[in-house]
Amino acid sequence: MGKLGIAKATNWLHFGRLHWPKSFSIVSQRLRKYTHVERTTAIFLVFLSIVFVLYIVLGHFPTIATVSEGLSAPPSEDLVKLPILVVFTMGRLFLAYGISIVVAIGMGVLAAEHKRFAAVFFPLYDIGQGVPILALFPVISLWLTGLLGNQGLALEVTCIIMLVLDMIWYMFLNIVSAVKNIPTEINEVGQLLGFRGLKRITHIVIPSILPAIVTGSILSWGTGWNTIIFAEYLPSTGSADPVSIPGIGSLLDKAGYEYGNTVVLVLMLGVISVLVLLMEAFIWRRLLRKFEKYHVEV
Amino acid sequence: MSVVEVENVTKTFATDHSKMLVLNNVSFSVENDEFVCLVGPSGCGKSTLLRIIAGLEKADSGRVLFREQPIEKPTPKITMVFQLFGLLPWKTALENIEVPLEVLGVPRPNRIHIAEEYLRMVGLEGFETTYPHDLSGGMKQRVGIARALALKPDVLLMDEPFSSLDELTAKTLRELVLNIWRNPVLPTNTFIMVSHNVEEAVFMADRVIVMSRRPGKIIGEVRIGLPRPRSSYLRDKEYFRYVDDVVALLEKGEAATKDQSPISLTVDQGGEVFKS
Repeated sequence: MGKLGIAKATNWLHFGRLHWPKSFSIVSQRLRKYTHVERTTAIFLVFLSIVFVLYIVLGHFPTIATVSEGLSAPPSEDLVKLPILVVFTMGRLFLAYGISIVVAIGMGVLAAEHKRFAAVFFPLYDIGQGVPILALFPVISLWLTGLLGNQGLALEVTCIIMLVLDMIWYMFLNIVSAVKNIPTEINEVGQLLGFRGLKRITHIVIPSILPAIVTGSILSWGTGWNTIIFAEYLPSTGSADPVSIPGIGSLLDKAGYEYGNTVVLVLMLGVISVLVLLMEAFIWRRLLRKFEKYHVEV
Repeated sequence: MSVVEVENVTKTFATDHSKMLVLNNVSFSVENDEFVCLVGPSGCGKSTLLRIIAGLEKADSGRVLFREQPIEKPTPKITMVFQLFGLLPWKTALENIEVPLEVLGVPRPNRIHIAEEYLRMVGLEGFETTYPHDLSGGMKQRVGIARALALKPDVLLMDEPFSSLDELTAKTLRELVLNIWRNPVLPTNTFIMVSHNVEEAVFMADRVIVMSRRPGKIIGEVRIGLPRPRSSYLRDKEYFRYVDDVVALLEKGEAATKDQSPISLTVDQGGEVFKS
């Protein structure tokens, strides 16, 4: 912290032997790389946010009374159904994820290995990635309502379609680059040992792209959460009496817009965060650690 | 009878702007029961030559015959040991040996039995369920050798099999390979090894074929007359004379490529000159 004078000050105060907490020394190490102006700005911003947080916490700390009041106000009676709503939302996400992973692997492997498929899939990817998926909601929903007749069913299907269209691209891109990056030695070994067709896909290609599939999946789930909350928010526009599909998103909508119940809203956000963290801890992190060993050492 | 015959093989690689001649009219043959070593400076196309023999690459002109049949695609009769071992990281040591047998259609109990047997032969008993990630370099190459041999090939190709190992491990593995080559029970008795280590080549081979810098062609060969096992000759004058013979040929090759340097220049359509 040369320029900030802390090192000098510690020397002067004979604190030399005293170790700063590790996190502090890491920060000081990092700050050393920046100019004086950048450092001052950073410190100012940190100071500002501390003040802000203190203001929020001290000024608006919810009392037990507000919490219990919130928990007895309107949409809270729906909280009993929370487990079912979670199951609905997660079910949709898992279904959409299942569809997109299968399609993405198929498309990704074909696009990486055959130029003809690449010529079709890459423009599709550009469009799919570029068009904001939520803008398609009314179009798909209206079309499906006409097609299926049943509004609730149409909404469900719309939700899944939107999720798939959203989740597929991260995995697709990751898979394409992973297939292209399979080391030549592995490909040669496959050729030499006679792996062909399906055997090659299952023994050589899929295992070598598994780490990329996991990273792609993590990104997909991130965007998937985003989309499903919105998709469940949005009511069908087809009839005079709007309906929306049951799930965490629609309860959020109810708590937020219909009743303005902040306590339930915050509770729901907490539930979503817990779900995301659980997935991270029990699925993605474990898979990543497992597939670390699959990297070919070159 | 020759097991492998390389006849006038020429190979060019196309880069973005030019064509690069890697192998220039290479011919030699390998007899049954022979241990042949291809030696040359790095980038002389010796690994490419090995890949053409394995059927992994196609020669532009010329051909490679295996027992008088031209080689067009990889066959289980000719297998290969790789410099970086070429193990599948997602399979255990045993599975790495077993999976190629599965591709050949060997029934499961048989192939597990075979894989266990070969794993034992290379001294890796007890490592059946270990993944390559947790094996040392020498152990990985042992698995690589076992996998190649389990297919019961006639010819074993080795692409610088010891160059990524430390000297001590390499020494042990050289002995292991020589023991396998000598073993009359195993069907694999014709070995072709690529190396850039002259001492290693003289220690192991019956015949050392010396190649020149790119475009690779054969400068000459040295027949190694040292009696086997050769470990007791490693300090011998005779051994060093063979090493000197090979080195002399290599130097001759270096001199020759310098004289004929215009040959190794290729001109692209834009008139730019690439030294290859």
